[in-house]
Amino acid sequence: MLDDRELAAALVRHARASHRLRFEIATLFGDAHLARTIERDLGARSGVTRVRANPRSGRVLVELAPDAAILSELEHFAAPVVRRREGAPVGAAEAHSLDPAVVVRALRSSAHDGLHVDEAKRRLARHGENVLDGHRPTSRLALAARQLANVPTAILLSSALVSAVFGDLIEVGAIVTVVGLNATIGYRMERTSELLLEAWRTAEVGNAEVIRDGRPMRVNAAALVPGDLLLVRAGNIVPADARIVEEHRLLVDESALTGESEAVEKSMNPVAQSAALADRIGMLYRGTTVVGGHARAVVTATGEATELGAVQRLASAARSPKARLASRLDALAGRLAWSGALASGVSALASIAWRRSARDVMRDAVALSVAAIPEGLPVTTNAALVRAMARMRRRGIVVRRLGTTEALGGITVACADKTGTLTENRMRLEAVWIEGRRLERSSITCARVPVGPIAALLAASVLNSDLDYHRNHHGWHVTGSSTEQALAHAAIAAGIDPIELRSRFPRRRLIERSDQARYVVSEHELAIGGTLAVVKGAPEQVIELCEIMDGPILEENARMAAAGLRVLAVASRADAAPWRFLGLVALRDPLRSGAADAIRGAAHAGIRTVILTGDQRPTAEAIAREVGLTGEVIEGSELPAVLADDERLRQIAVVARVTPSDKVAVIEALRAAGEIVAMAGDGINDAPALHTADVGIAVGARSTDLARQTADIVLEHEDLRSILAAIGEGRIVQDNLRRSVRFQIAGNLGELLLITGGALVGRRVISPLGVLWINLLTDSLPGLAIALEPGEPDVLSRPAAPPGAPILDRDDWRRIARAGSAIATVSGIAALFGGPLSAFATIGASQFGYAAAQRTTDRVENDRRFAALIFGSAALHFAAVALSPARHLMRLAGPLPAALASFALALGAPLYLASRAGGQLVITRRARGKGKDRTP
Amino acid sequence: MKLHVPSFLIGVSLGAGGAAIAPRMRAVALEIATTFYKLGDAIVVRVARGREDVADLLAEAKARARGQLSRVVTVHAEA
Repeated sequence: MLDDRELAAALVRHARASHRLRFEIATLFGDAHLARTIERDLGARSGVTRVRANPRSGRVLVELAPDAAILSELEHFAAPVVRRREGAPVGAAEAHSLDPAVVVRALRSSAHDGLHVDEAKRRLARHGENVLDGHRPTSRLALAARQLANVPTAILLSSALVSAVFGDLIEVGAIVTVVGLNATIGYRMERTSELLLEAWRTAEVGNAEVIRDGRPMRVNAAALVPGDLLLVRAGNIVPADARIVEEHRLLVDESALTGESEAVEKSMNPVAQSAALADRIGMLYRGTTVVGGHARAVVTATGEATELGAVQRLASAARSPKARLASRLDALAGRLAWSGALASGVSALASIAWRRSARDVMRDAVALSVAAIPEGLPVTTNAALVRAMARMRRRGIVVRRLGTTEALGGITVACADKTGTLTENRMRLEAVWIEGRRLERSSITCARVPVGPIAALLAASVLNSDLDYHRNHHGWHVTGSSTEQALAHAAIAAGIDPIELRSRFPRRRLIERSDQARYVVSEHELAIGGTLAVVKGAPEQVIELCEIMDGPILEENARMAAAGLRVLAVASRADAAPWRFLGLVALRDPLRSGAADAIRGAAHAGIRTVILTGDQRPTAEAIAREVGLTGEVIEGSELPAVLADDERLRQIAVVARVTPSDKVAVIEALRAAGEIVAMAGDGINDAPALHTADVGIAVGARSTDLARQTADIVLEHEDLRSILAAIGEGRIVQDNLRRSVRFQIAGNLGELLLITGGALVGRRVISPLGVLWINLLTDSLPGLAIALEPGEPDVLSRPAAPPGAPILDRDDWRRIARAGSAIATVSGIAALFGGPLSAFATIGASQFGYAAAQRTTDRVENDRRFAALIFGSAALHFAAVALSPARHLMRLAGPLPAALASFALALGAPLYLASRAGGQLVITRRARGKGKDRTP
Repeated sequence: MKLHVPSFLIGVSLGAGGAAIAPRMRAVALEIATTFYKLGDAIVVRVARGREDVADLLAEAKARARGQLSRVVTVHAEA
């Protein structure tokens, strides 16, 4: 303010060390008189040492004393002005706290005529389209490079290079083919994930109705700009953030963005700058749905600048945990590759000591490198995951990222959003209380003839509601607040026709609720003359109006409210007669079918459930009680203290009034505490949490696009019990993969010991090509058979494997060492008597028998797939031993009869042992109470 | 003097055309003059603001240097 004139000033610069502030004043340019006035006025203020207003630059320099109090004051006031320069987005950060007229002025728009068409074009060029950019995909080249940049591939390629140097071109071809195969599988898995993420861009809205040049027009929502005057009505999805400048009974469902289950009544009133998103009643936010009334609003932010854009950015920035399986397998393969390199070194030294040729030394080194790496592991892992994915797909569970299937098995904490996830996000009349009696929902809907006290109560509720009704051959379509919709649906179910009712009792006026009077009064004409008034609202206040009533109304109200129901009282009167109490109506957002079962089942499977909801604390508490969840209930505001305290973090069962970033914080804290966290949600506000969790689960076909696109798993139907089924599948995959990995590594160890042992005694036992054959055939196919087994029925009756546990524990390694040594010993003995060919025959055949011993036992013995894979690969291995060209190709020398005898012996003995002793051993161990699968 | 008909016709048509478009020329001239003024103003603003930016920069640099120097001097004096 200057001489009673309001000057729009923008802070250009604050030089802190020199205590100089420079402002820009739009009207100062060329106005020397104004410059002198500013200098005089500002110069007289305390703390200001010098003022220079320059009419040539339109700027004012203010130099301040170091301790000037005015400094912070000026910074505070000048900052919002900077953001409010012409056409710039006002931003949700402040528009809600300003009067609508101020926002419209700041955006250089008009509350009546909107923007000029040309100005809208200019702003579109300046601010860009109203679209969300979303995720930027990794380039194909980078993806391909990632598949090759790992230790096992590097070692395999080095082996190929060494083979090429010595002219073993067949080995080179075989190794390069294996590397290419594995890289292709990895590339395809990652590329699919990338393509799905790219689908984020489709989270767009269609057309929008705006006023430009004073005329209403429909424009593509992407063409909206800050300052546009937007028209919204019931059924619209809000296309941009906007400040309401005019509204009529506007109700907006913001549950997708804020998690608040009740539709929010909007008004033009500004609220405090610090108000939470859910409390900014003067704003409309992109992605929310108008459920009642209509409004004009001036667009304050578009595209990435909207709150939805901020949530999406949060979702993009949230660290998505790398698939645990992939990282653990990478680590395992890396360790094995290094151990192969070490064995190569030992073998090379031994071979040099034996004065073998350089060619032989290098061939053994290559064979060892190839032997150490489980080349079939990516194929078997992928196949197991794909099969589990297909099984889940049949149950209506869509897995979007392959690695998630395994991660499901390790879940220790399941976080769930309340509205729309545990509940249906659709209010329903649960009970009424009339004439001292409580009637449950089933009794209400069974009424056939719309007469009597129930019909009067429902008819009065419908008359008092502000809803739009449409009737077609599918039935009734009602739009308006979810509470009033629930009452209307109950009335229709009880045989009341709301359209006919309205025409019989035309409404004369409607008095809205206010902060003081928390009820709605409607007045209707009576056909016989006079008026009928209906009041509906907060029971304590409605009862105060009533003179005719009976029964302990307030006690019943308290009982219903304590049970998590939303209670309204209804009363009526004719003309000036006293108000007559008609009854109480109790509504709730009902639990989804199976929600309570799912939470009980999760507890049985050792999984803790935490509810994260944007709802009020009492609502959240009631839902927790209903699903049988015990533990501490806290609010979002208490989170910083709770998250810092591990003990309290373990106690929480419900967090109420949470924001999207609170949800992320809870999940990150749980993950930091070592838990494997799943998040189930359906709204836009859940998207960042879905992305942060180890497994994000979008619940239901009605979940928002953003939730579905961010989640790892999408449930097609809304039965939460299917999450448990998915966890069961995950645990089966974990069990099978552990057995399969154990089997394949035992085989690799056998080869490693055999070749190293051979080198130590100066013999070359198996060629690199022979090793590759064994790894890809006798290792991989039985490994695949084990990985595809159907799993045990009691997977959900035991706790998950401890988080952070490696794929193979100490016990597994001990068993691998035993099996590997046994395979190497029998193959070594065969090599002594029958040369490399017998060793080759034995090492492959012994693995088939070992595979049978790795199966889970309490299952149908004659699994056709298992038998087909084992006997198919046994036949191929037999062919490799028996056919001369194959022997020649793999450089295997030795007498054929000895090799065939070794083959038969090695194949038969373990199978016989497994069939006789294997099952009994497992049963004995399980009887001791070992949770984890323990096959010999 | 002999009448040169083509020159006469050109002169007449130019005069008539000029008289006809003169009112419209004013708007064009105004637009051109406004553009020149805007250009001139933009140059003046740019130059003035550039000088101010340099002055701010130097003032800040000087203040920082003197501030650091005084701290060094104080530390030495205390030592």
